[in-house]
Amino acid sequence: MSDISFPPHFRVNHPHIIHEIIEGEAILINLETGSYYSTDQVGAVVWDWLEKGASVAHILKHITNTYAGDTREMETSLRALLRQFQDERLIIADDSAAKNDAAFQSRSSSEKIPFVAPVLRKYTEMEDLLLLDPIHDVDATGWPQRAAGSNSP
Amino acid sequence: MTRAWNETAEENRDGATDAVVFFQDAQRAYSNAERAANARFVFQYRVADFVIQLAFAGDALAPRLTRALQHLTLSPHTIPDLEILVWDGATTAMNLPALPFTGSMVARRGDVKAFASTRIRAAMDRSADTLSLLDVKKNCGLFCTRDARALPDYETAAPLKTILYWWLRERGLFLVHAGAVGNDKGGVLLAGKGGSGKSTTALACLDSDLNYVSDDYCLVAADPTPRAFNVYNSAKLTPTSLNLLPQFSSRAASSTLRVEEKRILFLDETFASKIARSLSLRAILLPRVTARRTPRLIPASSNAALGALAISTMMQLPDAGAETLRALERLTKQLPCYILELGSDMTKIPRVIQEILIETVDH
Repeated sequence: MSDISFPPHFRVNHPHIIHEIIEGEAILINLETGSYYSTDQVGAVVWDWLEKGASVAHILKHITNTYAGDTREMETSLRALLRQFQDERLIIADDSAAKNDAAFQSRSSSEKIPFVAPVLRKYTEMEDLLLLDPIHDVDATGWPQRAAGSNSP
Repeated sequence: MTRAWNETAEENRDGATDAVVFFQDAQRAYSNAERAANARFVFQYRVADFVIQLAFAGDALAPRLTRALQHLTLSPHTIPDLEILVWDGATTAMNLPALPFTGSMVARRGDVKAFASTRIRAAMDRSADTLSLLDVKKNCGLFCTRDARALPDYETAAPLKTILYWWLRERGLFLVHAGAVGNDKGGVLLAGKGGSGKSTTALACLDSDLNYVSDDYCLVAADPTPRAFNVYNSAKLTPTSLNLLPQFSSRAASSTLRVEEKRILFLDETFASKIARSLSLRAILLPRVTARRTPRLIPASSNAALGALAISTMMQLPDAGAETLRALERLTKQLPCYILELGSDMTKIPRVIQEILIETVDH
């Protein structure tokens, strides 16, 4: 993150944003606009560390420590995701905060996960966020073939 | 036979009328199921201030869907505010409604996108193989599943929550994914996603003078003042919770019902007097499992509480959207919010909650 025009620190745009990470997916709601967002895997990790106050440099370090792939691609992807977060007013640059990256432990993992560039998805309705594929396989009554479900709501 | 959604007569050109026709088809399927089973079982319950009636075609589903509501039982003698007709296909000659959903889409939480009707609500849980419908105007719900024997245990622990959520929200009561405990001074709402410590906190209070409203799902009202209402008598315990609360081990071991790794207990068996029907809410606590020994409270923002409460609730309940979000926003803005850092010493939790109740009443 050598680009001096890129803020070194961001913070979640409280009180306008509410968020939760559920089953590895970050769900974000902008209360001002009513828009819903989701980002999974790497995006959820980035959001989690941003929310906890880590600097951009430290988030990048954590990503390169955790994921296998081209470091330059990881940096470009992180920068693009942060720009999207900023454009959607989910985060704002935070010049005032004194960051203590020592509080965030990130060690290089021996078994790295393949890096997949994070994607921020935007929805205007909650059910759009949760859409499944169309039901094609139905029985004689029109009931869909039972999903391979778990015993959880 | 599957009827295409838009294969409609002229008078059915709008989605609402289509939805009403489908609801009527489903109601006829219930009547046929009742005739095939040659039996109708009726139960009435008082939920908050309302009388809810469940009518079952045959006896296959009643034991599964009434257990968690048993403590709210009324003698069936009044005209119900809401009636829910319940049946399964396997024991009623497969009298299930033909679904007009082919080609349309169903959301992960069950929303049926094709239904744009303000009168008829519809949701399908594809894991549980269940269909929930509500005619808002007629105060009539329908719940059916292909085979009662295959119904997941989570439906036994918290039955019919989608229909109850739809109907009660029209009356200012919102089913939420939260626990609640309290005493005569008031209560606290326990908000957070699964695994955050809601059940552990709620069950740790059973050995104190605090009463139990819920560990997982309860009703809340934001207006005129914040209040929580009990619905279910069930509680869920993870292996971690059981390690912290060994007094529940033998009861949990004898339970045959599970939701993922959690054992389901029915608290009316041993703690009937501890189940409170409602509590005036004084604070919202966000439990967090920590490595501490003793629990403590840390002030949190109302938006942290809103995020914890609204998102995990809205991810589970079909058709939950802006209306629910705004109601929960009103609720969280009226109450002080705290992170409850749980410690390994569970006996200290009730004291922390009792102290915050005294403090909030004094203020």
